[in-house]
Amino acid sequence: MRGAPLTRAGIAILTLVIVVFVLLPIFTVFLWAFSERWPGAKLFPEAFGLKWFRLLIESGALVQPLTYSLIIAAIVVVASALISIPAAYVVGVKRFRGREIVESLALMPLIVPPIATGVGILGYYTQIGFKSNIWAVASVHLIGAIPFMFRSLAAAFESVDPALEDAARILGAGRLRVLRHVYLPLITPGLLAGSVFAFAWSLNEFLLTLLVGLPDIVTLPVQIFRYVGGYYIQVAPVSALSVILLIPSIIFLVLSEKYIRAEFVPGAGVKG
Amino acid sequence: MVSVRLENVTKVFGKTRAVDNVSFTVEDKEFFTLLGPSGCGKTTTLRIIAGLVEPDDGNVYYGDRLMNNVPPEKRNVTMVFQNFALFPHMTVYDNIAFGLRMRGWSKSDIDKRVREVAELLRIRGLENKYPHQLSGGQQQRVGLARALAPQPEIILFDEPLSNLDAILREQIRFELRDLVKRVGITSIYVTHDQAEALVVSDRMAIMRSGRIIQMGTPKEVYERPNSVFVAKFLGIATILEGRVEEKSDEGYRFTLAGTGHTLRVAHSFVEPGGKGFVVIRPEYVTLLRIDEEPDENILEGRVEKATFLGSTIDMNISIDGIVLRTFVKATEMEVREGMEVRVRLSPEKLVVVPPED
Ligand SMILES: Nc1ncnc2c1ncn2[C@@H]1O[C@H](COP(=O)(O)OP(=O)(O)OP(=O)(O)O)[C@@H](O)[C@H]1O
Ligand SMILES: [Mg+2]
Repeated sequence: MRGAPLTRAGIAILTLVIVVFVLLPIFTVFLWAFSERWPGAKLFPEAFGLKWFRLLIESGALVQPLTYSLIIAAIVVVASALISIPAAYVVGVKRFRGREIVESLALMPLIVPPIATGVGILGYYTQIGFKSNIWAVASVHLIGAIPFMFRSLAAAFESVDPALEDAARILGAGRLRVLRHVYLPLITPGLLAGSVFAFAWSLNEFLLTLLVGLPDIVTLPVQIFRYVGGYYIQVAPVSALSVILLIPSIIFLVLSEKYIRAEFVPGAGVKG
Repeated sequence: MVSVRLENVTKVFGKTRAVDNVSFTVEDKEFFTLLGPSGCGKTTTLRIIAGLVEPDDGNVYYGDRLMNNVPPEKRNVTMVFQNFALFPHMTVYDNIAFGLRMRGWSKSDIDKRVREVAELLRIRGLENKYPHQLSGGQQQRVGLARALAPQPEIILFDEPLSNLDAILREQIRFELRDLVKRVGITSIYVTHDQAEALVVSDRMAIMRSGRIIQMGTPKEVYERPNSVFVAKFLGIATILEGRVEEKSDEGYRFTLAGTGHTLRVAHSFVEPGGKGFVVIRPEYVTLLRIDEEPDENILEGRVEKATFLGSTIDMNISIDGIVLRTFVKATEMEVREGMEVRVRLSPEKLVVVPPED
């Protein structure tokens, strides 16, 4: 029972960290975003309303960036899934030798500083004139999205009994139909988990988006930095934008509680 | 319907020769069993027949047709798996219908056929359930129904009963054999359970380390094992070391090592002058009354251990340092531990096999 106080202390610290760095900031952001009138001396706003959202919409600072963000995120989800499925199948099902190497290679993009790759990519994107459009931005988002998607899918494929593929083949299904009728339905939880992470990654990505997207492609995070990056910080409109940015995360959080099993979330207790 | 022929088939995984130069023919509508210990290459052989594994060497024929380059989905073969391998996201109906859909059957034909095999396997009423809602025995029936539905020419069984409890296993194995015999499908059955193999097979092959070491009907292989391995693997046997002395019209003379007793044995896989092991099944041993006339192959000893098994008594008889195992009917005689007995070993049943290398 010597571990009990330690466990309690650990949980307390974890809770504190979550409160200070996640819940409290989000609470503050919501306060700012929905404040109608908030004199400086007061602890809470005097009135709540949608003033800042209206302002953002009228100034054109919301709709266009949001549209770009969502379209790009959708492209990133689909593309990362299409790219990851074959690789995840090979790693998860075929268990070939060297799969550990492939798995860690797939995580490389998350470790390498994006500024390094970003500048390099910018170099040759500029040379071939592939810049300042949603495809260019989506393509750099894939660098971060694929590792998440791949991990989730590989774990999902690994959880499928390999005998099912044999059974389906024997019963007359070619490889494609095995994928469609057996694997796809069974990896859906992993696909959802991967999509959530890929989507969230794309939605939040800032640095590479800035490098490759400007001047024409301004996504939500880039727009936010326009407000906070200057000589003064406009907290209220930034908060309103941040709330918008939070909505998909909240939706996914709720969805994932219902549909996603923890074992397909990258790094969440996946065996091995 | 069709025969299956393997010709010098070999499959190597890394350093393991999983299947090592295996050849055999399974006749049309025959029930053929591959029997062997874990890891001897049974599953790999089966998967090669199905087309799920490509052999490194050798040929597989269905009838006269070379199948090496035919993918599994184009072969008219189905399989029943050890862990059932039912599709967990499909109902029983969809599981059974899967093979039919893949083969492009019409909806009404599928309906009819699913009903037919569900009836055959007595699983009507389960159609809308999911596999996880079924008992092991029910899952096994669904697996079998799914394999029978597309009317395959060949059906493969990979230890289909090993996940069931002992009672169910014994019931289903008769039923299973009856079923495929009734439908008339060439069947290849893999198991490591010798009792199961003896019961279901028309013919069987004993595998060890990727090779087939003996083939024949269950009776042939049981009564005339060609090696210590087969003798031990199949049924119960006392195996005693000795030397084959000479050959006569009535068989061979065999001297038991250590004791100097000689036995007449009808069959030997060892030439006279060679060392070998005599295989003595419990049923080849008869207990004699003390006053009975001496005959040949008589040994005297003492009951070392007697275990009451209900209808029979399992005995170890110690004879000059060797131990012989046999059974007697419980009603036939009174057996006590320590009792002096004389036994006769039926010479026409005894076999001498070569030593292991
Ligand atoms: N895909 C594979 N990769 C590497 N080695 C394999 C593979 N499949 C089988 N083996 C090896 O080949 C040998 C034979 O395996 P196989 O599965 O055919 O045995 P088995 O007789 O079916 O055994 P069991 O009764 O345990 O099912 C084993 O040593 C096994 O480890
Ligand atoms: Mg096996």
